[in-house]
Amino acid sequence: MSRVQGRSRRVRQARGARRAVGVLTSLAVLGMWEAVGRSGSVMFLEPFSVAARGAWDLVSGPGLRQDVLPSATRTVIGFFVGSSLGVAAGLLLGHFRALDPWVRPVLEFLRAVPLPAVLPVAVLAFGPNSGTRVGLIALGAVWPVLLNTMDGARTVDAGFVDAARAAHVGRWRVVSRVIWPACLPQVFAGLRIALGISLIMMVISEMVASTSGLGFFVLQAQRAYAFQDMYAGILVLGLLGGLFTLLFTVVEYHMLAWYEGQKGIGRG
Amino acid sequence: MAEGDLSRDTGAASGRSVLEVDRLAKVYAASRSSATGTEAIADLTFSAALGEFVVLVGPSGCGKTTLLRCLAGLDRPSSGAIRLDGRAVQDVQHSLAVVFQEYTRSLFPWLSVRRNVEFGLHALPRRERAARVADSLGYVGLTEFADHYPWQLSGGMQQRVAIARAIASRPSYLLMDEPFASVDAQTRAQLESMVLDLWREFGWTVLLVTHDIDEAIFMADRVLVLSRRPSRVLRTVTVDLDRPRDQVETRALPEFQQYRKEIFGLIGTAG
Repeated sequence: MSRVQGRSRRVRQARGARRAVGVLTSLAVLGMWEAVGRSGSVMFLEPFSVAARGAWDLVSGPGLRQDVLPSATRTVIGFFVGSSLGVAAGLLLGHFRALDPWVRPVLEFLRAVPLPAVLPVAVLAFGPNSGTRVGLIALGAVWPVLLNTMDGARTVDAGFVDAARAAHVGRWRVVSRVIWPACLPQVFAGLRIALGISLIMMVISEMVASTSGLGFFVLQAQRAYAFQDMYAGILVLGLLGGLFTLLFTVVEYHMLAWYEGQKGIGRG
Repeated sequence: MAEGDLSRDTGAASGRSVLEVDRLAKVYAASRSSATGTEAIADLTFSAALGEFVVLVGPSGCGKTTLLRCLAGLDRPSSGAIRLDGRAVQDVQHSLAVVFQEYTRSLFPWLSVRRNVEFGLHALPRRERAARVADSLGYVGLTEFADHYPWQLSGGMQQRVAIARAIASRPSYLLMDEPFASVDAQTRAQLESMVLDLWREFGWTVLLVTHDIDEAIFMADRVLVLSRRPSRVLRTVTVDLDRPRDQVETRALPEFQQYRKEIFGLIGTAG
């Protein structure tokens, strides 16, 4: 027992050291930003302290309800809608392979279309409203999830499916109880990419014919030469992305504990 | 099998067939690797009596696994019929449980041991399910490992979990596809004896596939020696050894060696 405790203490210490190093590096980068910003050697670059003050004003003032929350909400809804569609379609297409030749060419074409190019069309067709922006975010999120899930479902060990069927489990239940959990690691890899794309699509969609959101805020500030606001907006966007990634990692950690354990990664 | 050697009272003595394989053939469709298609099984006929322990041995790649897949309802034969209790097998049978060779592919790593054993019992009420799981884990001696995950257990323990899952479904028939091929020799001997004990307890009709001739003789009432693919039954050897069988004493019997010589000879000339 003491050997195990000794090992877990070492693991904790190693993790603490890694965190400390990370914090130090981050501080160094921010310090450089501050120094370069103050020196005025880079045009339009405000120092970090100015950007941070602006960011604080943004999230503590009316900007929170006007720009930050709408952006966050659109990202979350778009991400969830897109991922759900991606998972459902990916499971079906991956498991029922007969569907593949029918849908494959269309899928490959659609996913190859750069979404920012679709944006102006979508705004024209559906109006410059929140729904259009959420739809675009969802459209961006759907592909990595769909393709990863499809690939995962396709490569699920046939032994698992045999074992489930031999245990008298029906076809749909095999999908929900075997295929789905078995391809969860790949689904999460897709979700992680989709989260990044959702954030990008959020910003881009808010830069066209918009009246709210962080993308709109940053663009407006740039056009008005309000550089403090511009950097504040970028900083808040970065923090929002960081927050979403953190939440995502927590969920992933809990849902894939078996996977990490099986691989021996979780044991330090 | 001589009547006097039966240490248990089963239908084996009555000789009534409950599992019948009738002129079974399986040809896999032509693929990139073979233009003509592969004939895995050709004209295979045998039967098993109620409560009988039948072991299939044969050279590797002789279509044993194909046969078990057909019996389990996971694969369709190209021709011929399989009957359980007189009814033709079309699909997965509720009266039949399967233990596969590779426990890493039949136990789900995302489920605890308890959930793995419970898998497939979802139609039962919760209380009944819990009782069966506890019961089954007790039979294989893994009660205190219910909350572990399969990958936290040794290979032998994982195969016991797979056997517990089979027990929990309360089958009449048990199919085992080289169930002990992936564990070490000592664990293998323990598992063999455990399965024989469970077989006595539950009165299953067992069909076990193995490539290990000693294992076949040790466990079987009857050994069916299969030919190379496309496989058919070369010879049926009735194993007339006392039960319960003992890993050391039974294997040391001169009769055991005699059976061994006989089957080795058959497999040597197989095909």
